[in-house]
Amino acid sequence: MTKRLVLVWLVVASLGVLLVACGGGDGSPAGPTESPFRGSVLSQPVPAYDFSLNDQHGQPFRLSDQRGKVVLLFFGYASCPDVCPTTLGDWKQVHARLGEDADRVRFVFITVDPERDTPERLKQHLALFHPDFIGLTGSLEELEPVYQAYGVYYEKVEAPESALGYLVNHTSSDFVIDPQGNWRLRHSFGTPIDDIVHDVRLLLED
Amino acid sequence: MKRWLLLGLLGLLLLLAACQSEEPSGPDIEAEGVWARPAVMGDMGADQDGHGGMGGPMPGTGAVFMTLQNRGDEADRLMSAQTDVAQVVEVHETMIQGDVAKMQQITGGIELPAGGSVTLKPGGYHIMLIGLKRDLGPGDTFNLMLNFETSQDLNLEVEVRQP
Repeated sequence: MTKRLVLVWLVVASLGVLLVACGGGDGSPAGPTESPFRGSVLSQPVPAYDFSLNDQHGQPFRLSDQRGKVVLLFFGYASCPDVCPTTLGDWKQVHARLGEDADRVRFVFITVDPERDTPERLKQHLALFHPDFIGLTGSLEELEPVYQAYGVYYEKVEAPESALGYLVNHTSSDFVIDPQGNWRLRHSFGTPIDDIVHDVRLLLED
Repeated sequence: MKRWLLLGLLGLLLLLAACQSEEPSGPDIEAEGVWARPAVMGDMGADQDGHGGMGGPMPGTGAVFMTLQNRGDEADRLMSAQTDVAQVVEVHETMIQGDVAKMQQITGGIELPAGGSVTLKPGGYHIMLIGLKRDLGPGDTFNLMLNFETSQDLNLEVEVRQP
């Protein structure tokens, strides 16, 4: 199931790349068939799978309660020293660049390592980046349907020689949900801050 | 096996070649742009068995990045590192394959080619700090010692900052 979803995403991502490749250069006016977005666009916006999980403060967070706001989702884990903090660091800059508009954006980090990521641990970790960032955790039974719905790949990899014991390989792109609750875009790891800010602004104007 | 023999022979040849040159200088490593992400100590520091387990101690982790220049005429390898601020230091690599981020521990060291440079950066190689003994806040500094296969240890001051 997960593999199929990954495949589907690879196709979507390559289509996105094609679109970008076929589109005009930067700054040229968008043609009628050209996407105004810089991330990978879902051909058909789909209602984002709704879920409710507890945040790092023990408060329930339900996705469908966020209507009117753009929601950025990222799946990672607190012990992840590289990709996840890079994304959270990027988000911090996105937040700053959005200025007052940031109030209409939710930055949501969902763990792929519920075994280690307690609410307390997420609280400490996210506090390094921004007090408004939301960290969600729960039991694997609660999280699994969310991973499935968004096609999130995760794999616990034993690392016997590492003091960490295990590492988690995981999907590294974000998922962007518009103020109407439709899943619209994805940004691959390392997408420039400018492009994310641009896409979020467009969705806020929708 | 054969490969190792070949490598050994190559190594010997390289050594011989080095002996023939007038001034054998070997590798010459310099570190530039050394920085670490802000990070938190975690609950209790690392447990010695590694595995946190349910309700077990959660080691705080951090990462150090830099560019290593090898101005010498011989390759070297970054093998390991030590610091006072973490119980364990490991060399790791992130790879993005398709859309999936994979992390792996590098146990054989990172090759530093003669006259070349290797950058440890987000999304690639990094020195991973596991079991932080204190929080690393922006503006903090701490010491890190790098161990190489050939070169002498290198003592560095690491600055904590947001990228």
